[in-house]
Amino acid sequence: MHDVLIVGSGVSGVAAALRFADKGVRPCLVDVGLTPPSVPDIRDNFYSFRENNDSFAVMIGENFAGLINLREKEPSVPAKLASPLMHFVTGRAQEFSPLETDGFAVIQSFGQGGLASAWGAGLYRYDDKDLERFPIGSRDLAPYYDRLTQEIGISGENDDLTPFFGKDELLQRPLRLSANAAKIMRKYAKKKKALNTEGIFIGRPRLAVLTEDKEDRMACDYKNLEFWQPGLSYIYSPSLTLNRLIRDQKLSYEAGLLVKSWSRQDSRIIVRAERVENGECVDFPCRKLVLAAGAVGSARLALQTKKDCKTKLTLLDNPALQFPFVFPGRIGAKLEKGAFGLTQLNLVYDSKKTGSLLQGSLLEVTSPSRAEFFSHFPWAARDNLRLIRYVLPALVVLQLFFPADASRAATLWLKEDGKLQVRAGQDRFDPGIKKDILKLFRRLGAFSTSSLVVEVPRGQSLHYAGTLPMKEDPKESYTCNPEGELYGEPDVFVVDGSVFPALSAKNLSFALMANAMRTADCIVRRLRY
Amino acid sequence: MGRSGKKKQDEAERIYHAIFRAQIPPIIKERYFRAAGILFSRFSSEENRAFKVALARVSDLEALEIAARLRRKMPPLVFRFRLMVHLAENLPDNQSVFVNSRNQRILGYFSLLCGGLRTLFKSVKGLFLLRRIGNA
Repeated sequence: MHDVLIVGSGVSGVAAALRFADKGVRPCLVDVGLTPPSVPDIRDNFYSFRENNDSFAVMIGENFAGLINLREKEPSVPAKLASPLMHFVTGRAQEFSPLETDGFAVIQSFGQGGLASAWGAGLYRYDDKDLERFPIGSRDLAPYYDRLTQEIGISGENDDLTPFFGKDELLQRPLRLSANAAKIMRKYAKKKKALNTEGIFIGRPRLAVLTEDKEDRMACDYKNLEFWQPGLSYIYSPSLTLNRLIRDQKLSYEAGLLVKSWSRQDSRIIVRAERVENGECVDFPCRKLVLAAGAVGSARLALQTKKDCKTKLTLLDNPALQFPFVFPGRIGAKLEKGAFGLTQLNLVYDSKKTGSLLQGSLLEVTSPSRAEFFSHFPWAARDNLRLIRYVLPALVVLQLFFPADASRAATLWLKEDGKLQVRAGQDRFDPGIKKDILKLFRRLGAFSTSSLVVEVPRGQSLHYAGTLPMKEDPKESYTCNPEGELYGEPDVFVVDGSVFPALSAKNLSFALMANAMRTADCIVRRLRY
Repeated sequence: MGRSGKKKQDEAERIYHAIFRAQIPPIIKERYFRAAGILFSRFSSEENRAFKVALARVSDLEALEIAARLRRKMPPLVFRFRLMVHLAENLPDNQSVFVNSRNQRILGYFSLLCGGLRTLFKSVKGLFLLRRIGNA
């Protein structure tokens, strides 16, 4: 019998496993754990590679998986997840966890490392304001951030965003800025005082991306492969920690298994899983069960275990707007082939209109395929190619995230046929926010119009949470106590986004990991006493 | 090659030429055929019929496509243009079409100015063509 059994190898499952290992407990981690296909050895910058090689296998793939968004009327997955070599991250999800959606695109992962195998890698500390609706405070999470920073390797800077992101003495130096991002920073420095008075702060992101070598991992080499190649060692993925723990025999890893439910036998919990290759059932007895299958996956397990097709659970995701901005002075400039392909800068907007903090990530557009932009530009085909060639070097995209709470969240329930049904909640963006952001960027030298601003399809922020929320004093099923223990289910703990009762505009991954470690500590204490 | 194979070949050649003003490389043609088998099933028979009529009656497919995109008509045509651009981007010979490898600001601006005017002309022409084939 295992002392602890963890379900899922995403950020939270692996963070919990790391804490157990630190404390001398050897957990068993059960996971479907799909892995990437063999990756072509691309040693050049991706643009140089494309100048000399047919890139069909990397960008589209023999089964045309890279064109998944072309098949749908609306983009069904973010561009990075559409890349054929990244397809393992979301592969076979409908087979393992069938669901129907209505206005809310749920993206599930059964890949090793979960959605974090293709993430944006932003890691931000939740402060007390972010945790306002939680039964825990920032002091409860604080002890775990430094340990995680050591494990992951985070680059960034203590700058104007430190009051929002927290001070971190262990950061590696920030990534090299692209020409467009550097231009914004120069303008921001000149107008900083006025902008700060208006509640606008800009600075370097905190990213799980190495700028200095760390053990056997190499620093970022600016080859623009972020969208196309899984397992880049400079971008942290939970698989790195998972494989180290397996190698050091601090974890027993059972892959190829889809957990279906749990039951109880005396004081033991029996976790029932199915081998994905042949459907054979396998039972795992354990003393403590840790659910880390993601907000949707853990909710499904809880509902399936109770065979409950009546209860409707809340599902949160950050609403987001996408703003394209052009720097007129850079139209016709040489494409910066070495620009880092994920977040270049962060923006925090202390919005008086919404009464909450909004967070933006400014992205370069060098990583996605150029053809991806063809359908977004409004000109005739040949002229769209001119726009791609001459305007894309001058283009950046701001993704602006809004907080989310239960009042306007999506709902999720289990149907009799075993499918999950997800229905979007009501969400409206204040049009004033769009105007404010457009005005702000005009002052920073970048231009756009409100007609070009796109609402990110609900669910595509991939920040799922809130299905099994933690409460100070839970009195109903499908809620957890502050230690993460599910109400009415002693010794069953939840460590993923399910327990977050609200989402701040910040990416939740870092807070999730810290909270998973905190829950692991609670479990270790219970095991010992 | 059967009649439908020849038609598809003609279709691929014409779409590629409309976008790139060049002859379609054989590898793109082969991938286009394979993609067609997987991706084209999403369209209704009516949509496909309208597309085939348009292909037979209209020579300026680029003009028709921009009008169809603006008017949200004829999804098979718009889809095929997008597909062809994705397939074309993979070839090393086409990189210069998609990537600006040297600073050419004046050419960039001039090119955009011409592109804007050309799009205007193509849109008007395309709307006329759409009306002519009864899809406006």
